[in-house]
Amino acid sequence: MLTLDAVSKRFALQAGYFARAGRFVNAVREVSFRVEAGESYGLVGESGSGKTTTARLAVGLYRPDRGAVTYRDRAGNRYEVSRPASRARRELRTRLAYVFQDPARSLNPRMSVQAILLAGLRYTPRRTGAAAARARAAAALEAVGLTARHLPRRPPDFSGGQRQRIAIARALIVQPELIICDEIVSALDVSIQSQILELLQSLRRELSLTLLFISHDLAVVTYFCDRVGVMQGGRLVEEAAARQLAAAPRHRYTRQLYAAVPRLPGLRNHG
Amino acid sequence: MAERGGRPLYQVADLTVSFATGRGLLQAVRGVDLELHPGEVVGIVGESGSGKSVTALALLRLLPPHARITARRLRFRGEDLVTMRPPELQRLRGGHVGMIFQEPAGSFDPIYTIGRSLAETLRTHHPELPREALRHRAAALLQEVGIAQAARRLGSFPHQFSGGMLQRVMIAHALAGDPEVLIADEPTTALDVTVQAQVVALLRRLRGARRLAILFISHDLALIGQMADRLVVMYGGLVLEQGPAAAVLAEPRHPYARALLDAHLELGAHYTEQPLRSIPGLVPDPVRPEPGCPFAPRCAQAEARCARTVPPLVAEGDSGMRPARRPAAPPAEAPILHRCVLPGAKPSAAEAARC
Repeated sequence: MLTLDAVSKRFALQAGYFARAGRFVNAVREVSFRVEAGESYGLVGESGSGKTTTARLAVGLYRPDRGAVTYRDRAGNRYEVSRPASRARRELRTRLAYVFQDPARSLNPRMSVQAILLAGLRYTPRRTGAAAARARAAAALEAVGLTARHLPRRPPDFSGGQRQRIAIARALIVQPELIICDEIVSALDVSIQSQILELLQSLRRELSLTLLFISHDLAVVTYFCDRVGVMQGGRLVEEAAARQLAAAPRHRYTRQLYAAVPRLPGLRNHG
Repeated sequence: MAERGGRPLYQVADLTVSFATGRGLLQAVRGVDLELHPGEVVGIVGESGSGKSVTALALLRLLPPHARITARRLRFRGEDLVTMRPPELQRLRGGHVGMIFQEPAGSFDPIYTIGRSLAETLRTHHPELPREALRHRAAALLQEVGIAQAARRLGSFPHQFSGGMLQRVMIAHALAGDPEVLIADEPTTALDVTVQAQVVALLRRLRGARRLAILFISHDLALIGQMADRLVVMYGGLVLEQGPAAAVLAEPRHPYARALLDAHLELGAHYTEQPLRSIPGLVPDPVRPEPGCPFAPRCAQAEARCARTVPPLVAEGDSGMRPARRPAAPPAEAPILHRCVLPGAKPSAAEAARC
């Protein structure tokens, strides 16, 4: 469905008129992977490993310096995400959606929930009338466990977990096929984390969504995903089925991540 | 396990903290009992809004002036914090008690070098020392918290450090006054897991080397379980359970402690095999707390009596104050520790000290 083929991206270390030219940081180096339809693919790694840059390349928020990102939708249309034509760009907006890490910063505090939800619809080809748009906003909110009653409220009225639900509703409203979740539970308490993960899991089943799920938390990624890629220093250093990765990490770096996860001392394995 | 000999450093009984807001009185802390002994690590675990950070700030009297604090007892080494004068408070903050915060990057002034800010902290505690000695000490502190080439790094600015390194520098600041107590409020929440493990290892080492008592605050039960001798479970401004960490983790008594433990995602679990055990619902509104157990609206095991009163805490051994095992009633000889929940149960106005 989504294919990254040897994608690289570098950024200039200094920007502006007086910047010295020629100093770069290689954020993503030759990264290739495929996310299959209906799959939940995880990217795990530390800050600075290139996870977010990869995610942004995957939706076309950045253009790769080398390599290509392609997307094949359910109808079989093929899109060059890295170099889309303007019509394709509009259509892609209804195929791919992105949920950001920190709901406190990704939702404009001065906009009503309704305005936040509908802003995403404005740039898609399926434009609807005001009444229909409102109905869709209400439906999206209900899908994430809130109600139409919340439409006129503003983000500061909500808790962190509820704000993340609003952010997910904003992604759902364009009826996407694939959602990219960039550290969406990292800012939340453990108990709220599992509420959001539960919500995503049920949405995924109901809407047959494909997910690209990014987190620094190995326990969350290996729980939630089918396959997982491990990133370090801009490269994909290991890729395996989630359960295999949790049972027997191969790469030295994955094993380091593995050892750092805090575990409950001498406890039962949940079940 | 730390030996609990000697006088406790902190003695807190029935601490309440509230703030006047436009919607009414926000009751952040509604009756907390706490003790911290020399060399001991006490972990406070709870969700956002449980009152854990406000409790920590109250221990340093760092709350804003409009905060209303009452307590039956609020003492550090026997001295009453409520009546403490500003010069003594100054010696307490950063002197006897060091504090580290969640977001290391936000705690530094970006225009000062690490050496300059560290020297300034040192000077407040040792005004007699000459500049050269301050610089020496600053370098020694950086080395103690595991920063390589410490003397050279004194000239670096905060933005030249990673998050984990900056948290180490913050710990160096907290150690500058040679404290007996370190209060760490979510010290690793903003950090990666690998860096988190390093910071926890550092805190453990310092605790041994300096015989520090640590109050470690986090929402992550597994993380706290690695550090703490004793565990305090807070929710809705109340302590719902406290006891030896191993005992609470092995057999949590209060349904909230149980639910927190179950919500923890152990490495190796997979969605195809086991469902998540999330805690449904939201934390209660601190402006209009309902009487009774604050967790009752989210609790699967709530009974009629939970709407009236919190499961009373029963003293157990010398270090536990835990809800009685269900459904058995608390043993008759054990004193039931007073809880400040129902309006009628509040200590008299004369008892409640104000500041």
